[in-house]
Amino acid sequence: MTLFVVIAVLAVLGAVAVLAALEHRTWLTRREARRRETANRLRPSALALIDGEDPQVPTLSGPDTLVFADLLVHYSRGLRGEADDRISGYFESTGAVDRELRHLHGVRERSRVEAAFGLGDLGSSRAVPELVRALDDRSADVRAAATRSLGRLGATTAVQQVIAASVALRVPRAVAGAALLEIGPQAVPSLLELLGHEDPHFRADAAELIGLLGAANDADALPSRLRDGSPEVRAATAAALGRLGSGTARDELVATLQDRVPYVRASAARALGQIGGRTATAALLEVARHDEFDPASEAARALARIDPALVLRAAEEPDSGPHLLEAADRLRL
Amino acid sequence: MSGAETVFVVFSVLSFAYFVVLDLLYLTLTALAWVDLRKKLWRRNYLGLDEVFASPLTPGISVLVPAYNEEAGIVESVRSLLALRYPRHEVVVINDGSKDGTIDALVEAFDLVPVRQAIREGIATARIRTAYVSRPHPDLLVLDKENAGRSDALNAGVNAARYPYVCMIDADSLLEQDALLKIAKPLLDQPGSLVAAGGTVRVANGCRIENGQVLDVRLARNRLAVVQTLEYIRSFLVARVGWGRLNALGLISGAFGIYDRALLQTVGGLWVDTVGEDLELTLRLHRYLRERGEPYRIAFVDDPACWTEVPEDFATLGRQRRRWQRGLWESLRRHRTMIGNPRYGIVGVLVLVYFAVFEFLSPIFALLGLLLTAALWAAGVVSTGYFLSMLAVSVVLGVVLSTAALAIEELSFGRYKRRRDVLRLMAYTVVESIGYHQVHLTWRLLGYVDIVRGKTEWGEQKRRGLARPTPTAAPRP
Repeated sequence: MTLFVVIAVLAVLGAVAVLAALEHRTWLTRREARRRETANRLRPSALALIDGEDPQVPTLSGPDTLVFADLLVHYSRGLRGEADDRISGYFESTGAVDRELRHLHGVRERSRVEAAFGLGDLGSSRAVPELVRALDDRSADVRAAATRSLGRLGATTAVQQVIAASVALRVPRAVAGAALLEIGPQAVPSLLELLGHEDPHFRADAAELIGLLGAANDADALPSRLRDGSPEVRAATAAALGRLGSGTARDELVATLQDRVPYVRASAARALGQIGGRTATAALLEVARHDEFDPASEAARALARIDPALVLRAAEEPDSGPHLLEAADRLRL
Repeated sequence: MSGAETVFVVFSVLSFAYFVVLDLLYLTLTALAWVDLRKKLWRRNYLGLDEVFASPLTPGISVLVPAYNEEAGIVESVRSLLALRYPRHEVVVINDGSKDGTIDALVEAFDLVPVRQAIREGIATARIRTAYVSRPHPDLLVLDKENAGRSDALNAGVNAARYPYVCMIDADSLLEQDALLKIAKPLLDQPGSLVAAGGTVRVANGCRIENGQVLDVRLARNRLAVVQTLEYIRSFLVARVGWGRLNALGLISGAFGIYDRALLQTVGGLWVDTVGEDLELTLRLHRYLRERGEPYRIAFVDDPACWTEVPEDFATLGRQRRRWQRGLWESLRRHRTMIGNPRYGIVGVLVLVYFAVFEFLSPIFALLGLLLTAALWAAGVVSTGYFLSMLAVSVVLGVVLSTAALAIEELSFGRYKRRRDVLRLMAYTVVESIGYHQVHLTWRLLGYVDIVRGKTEWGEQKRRGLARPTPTAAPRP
């Protein structure tokens, strides 16, 4: 009997919780509608500020300030250069940057995450040293948000620390990688150093990011990594060489077509397709005809880029294999 | 008390204990889901999905769409899949020997041209008659193969997929715009260890849908669909989230999940001889990786949603649930060594035991035990207090769990914007626990009949089970 009463009371409490949640949701919806209205009203002023037409920032109060800030943050994510500077100037003038910097040292995890994330959008380079310090925060979310913000701010001075945080497994590799990509080519020298790291995951990440950020002359450091002990590193290196498009590595990549790991051969074949040049065609043709699925498929695709006529001819031969046939059919589309 | 009476009373007490254990488990899962919600709710604003979208490091995903007699909706469905917000994805439609104009509709709409497509031979499948690629959409591949069921079609898709991850969905379900981005987020945060992830499946009945997108979330008029809406909310936003937090997700729904393609090929893809292929695959992945002692994670991500249509009549729904019961049996039989086996960690000692005792055997304890107790009470053998306690742990607690699930849904997602819809869902927590749940258990009981009969009529059953009858192929909640 008691059990019945207890559980029945729980059921009633459940229903009350739903009603309370419903009220909460309705309140949120209304607030959202009000915010949208305010945003529409303030949008022209925000755009004027971004365009630099109107140095007079409107006087705002209470919730309007927050909505206006959200609008600027929204635009700042897609902007660079002077417009972005004007936005950060506004945030400096309103004291928003100082406020967020204070919150970065708050007790509550949530406010630290919000501050670490938000500082990236406020555009003030003054935040960089504090964000670097936040890379050692005890909360993984604060560290990730700080990393992202350092990327958003293009903090070239923070490259070493971002890499160090990633290597120490304090920040997910993908988050650090994305931030370094935002920071840009200035990250390359540190990445070249990372190529010598003892953990193959980091050597592979370094090679991949160099491929995305580097210039043709950065490719010189890479070919030795085609003989790395880790297949992951060899594949990433081949991919990077392909992206950089440097012809000097062509012979080494042709040699990598003989690697014992299929996905490394596939990566080398794709890279050769990106680099181009007919000296690789004989080796690629061999891989396309006789290798396992992934390398053969990449080799056929690479050949289709380098020498379409050759693919069409090779597909007619009896030992062409399925990949050259597919490549030929796709060329005819 | 006579000998028979004693046996009945003992069985009733056993059922009572069964309910108590089950209730404690569900309450724990609800508590875990609540903790998870509190942890995740505000963090959602700081996921950085824009960065995931922009990053060249985001891994490619091949979306596999098996289609059997989907002429009516396939074009719209593929169009919306091609338009998903994701930096690198392809759509692979596998026409499973449809008898209608599915292929013609696709050829016409996407300007398909036959090619001699090279396809891996990894997993054995029925013959692929023709492969088509689209002139205007380089990221669309259509395979026209002989009919051999949904699993076989998906296996062909795995063989043909270009990217390192595959996403399996149904042709008649809809993915939200950001669904791939959200489900791929854990791949970026934990590269290497995540081998599969499941997303939330929601009930599309009643929603306003245009161009393959859910524009307005509404509750269905059909009562059966409303009950299932509640069932899905409870199952995905509470049970799955809870299991996921224990790192013990036993089932990725066939309607929406991503998998490491190379791993799928290593384990041989989906098992084509079962009607519970999604459950069997999830268990097999656990088994394979645990036997090799490899660190891995199978995650549940509650944020991305896939909308699917559920049956609106008793006959179809009953057939679906009986099929699930049979699929459960087939999976449990195949992986019986895992049940209660500490070698498989929490998956063996908790998840498999849960599936065996609290899912597969549920009709015996939860239905027959309850009916028997009612009969004993009517006959004056057990006291009213005992009977009421039995009702409390069996039926009333169901209302507690469903209202808790609904509160979690409202606080975390609040997809149902209309007050009326939420109040209706709340009223249905009673209908679900008193009435629907017992009908559901009856279907499960009838599932035993199918299992016994299936042994002698395997050939016929196999054909019937694998050819995907619409729209009953909805995922199990």
